[in-house]
Amino acid sequence: MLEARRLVKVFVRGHFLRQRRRVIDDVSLRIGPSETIGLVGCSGAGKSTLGKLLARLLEPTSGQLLFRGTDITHAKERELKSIRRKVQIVFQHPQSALHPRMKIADLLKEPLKLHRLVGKQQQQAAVMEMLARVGLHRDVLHRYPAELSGGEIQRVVIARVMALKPCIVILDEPTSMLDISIQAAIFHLLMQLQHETGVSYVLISHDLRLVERLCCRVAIMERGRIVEKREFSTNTS
Amino acid sequence: MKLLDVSGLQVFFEVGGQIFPVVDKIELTLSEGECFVIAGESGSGKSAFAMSLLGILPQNARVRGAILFKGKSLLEFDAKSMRAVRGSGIGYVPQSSSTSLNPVLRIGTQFHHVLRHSLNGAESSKAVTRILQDLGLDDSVALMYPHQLSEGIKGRLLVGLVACLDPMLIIADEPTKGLDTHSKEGILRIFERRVTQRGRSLIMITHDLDVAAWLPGRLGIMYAGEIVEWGPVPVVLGDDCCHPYTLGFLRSLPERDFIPIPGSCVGLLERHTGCRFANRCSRADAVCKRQHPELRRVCEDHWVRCFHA
Repeated sequence: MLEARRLVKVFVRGHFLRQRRRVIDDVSLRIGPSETIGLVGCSGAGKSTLGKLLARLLEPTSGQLLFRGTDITHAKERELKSIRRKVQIVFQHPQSALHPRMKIADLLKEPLKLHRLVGKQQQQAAVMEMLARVGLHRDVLHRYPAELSGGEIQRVVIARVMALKPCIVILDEPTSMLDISIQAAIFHLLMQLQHETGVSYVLISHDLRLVERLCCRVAIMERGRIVEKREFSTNTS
Repeated sequence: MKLLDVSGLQVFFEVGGQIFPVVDKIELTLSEGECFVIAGESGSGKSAFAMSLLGILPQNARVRGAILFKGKSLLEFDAKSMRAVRGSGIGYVPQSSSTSLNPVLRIGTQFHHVLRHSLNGAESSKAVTRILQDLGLDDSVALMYPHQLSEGIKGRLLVGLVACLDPMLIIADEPTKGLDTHSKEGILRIFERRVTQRGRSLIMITHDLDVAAWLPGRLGIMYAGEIVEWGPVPVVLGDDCCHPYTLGFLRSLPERDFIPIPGSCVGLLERHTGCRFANRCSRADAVCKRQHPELRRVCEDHWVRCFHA
């Protein structure tokens, strides 16, 4: 479904010195339907950058990125709009993922409006359905993100992402800032949604036990390269 | 003499004329060279408890009970005396390393600011080099700004900034949150050295049970503002844990059953009667809903707040 071929990303630092740093180096990866792939490695290994490349939030320096056979490596913003709907990302810090001055109701309506998914009259009903899906009470609708716990915010983020019916969701350490007891609840929700919709996940984490528990395949990254790939036969998505 | 003796500590927040109880009747004694880990979910009052020890709670907070540090009551100290305790007596490692370091000052300058009262310029520069070496970092880090460093290094620097004044007690509020295993280990080793080699005390707040298991000492599990179970770390994290919340906490780990605790924590204003975990507990009966359980000893140095333990 999504295929990365020999992706390279070089960041240039400094206005005059133009220091070049190769943060992603010759990475190839293939993501099929309804599967969960793990990306593990230390901080600075390039996991999050690879996640952003796969979601095409960053443009690769070289290599190829194919979504359902179409080359999206250098696609323009307008062309990317339909792809954005299908490839979504959940960030590590739930507190900074949402606009702090928008109420939850408006935040949930935002993706529906942007992608014109439902008419104005159906928006309220769609929002209620999104809330029910992630197990949130309707009381949260009139609150601001700062008034919610980390676990609740991450549920709001997941509700926004899932409303678009994506094919692939990049989960960039979605629970590393949350409590362990909430971690299990969030992943149960994600797995249930995968079961219902057939979505694929790319789980970025540095918790090997978590990856072992949830993923069918794992790629281990070091200094921008995939140094090892492993399959877990016990986890079949 | 005990280094820290906390008894009947209660913390309330006053918001819009209403009183919200956040921490309830905490008892804790800590000797020199001892380590106490507090674990529990967000909102259980862990950070409020730590801040109450240092007197850095917001103005709308009310603290009751007694906090004795080296035999002196901290709650009776004025602002000036409290300032003298902070830093050299009790050091505090705040939760977020990315927002706790000054973004516009080089790391070396931030260390000089902390050391300026005890050392002169040349001594201070030598001390910074030595501290960075102790933290396993290169000298060049002193010339860098926080945004040029990774979260793991910033976490280590924050611990180094607190440790450079050599406080008797360090209170660390989730110093390893969101860090990878390698960075976590780096930070834990610094704490371990302080406890085992220098005989300093540590109160570590965390929700990471790997971190709790690393440090020798006692572990207290907090839930809805009170300690529900405490004892030696291997006992509480082992098969002998008794409180249903601790059991649920352990069962939610990916390497165990990965089953979340059902329901959500009782609200701050619903903590009047009965056991605070009763609405999520499979063992709860009529007594649990009617009567509030007290901490009781199940075996030597192992205490549990449950009627069914």
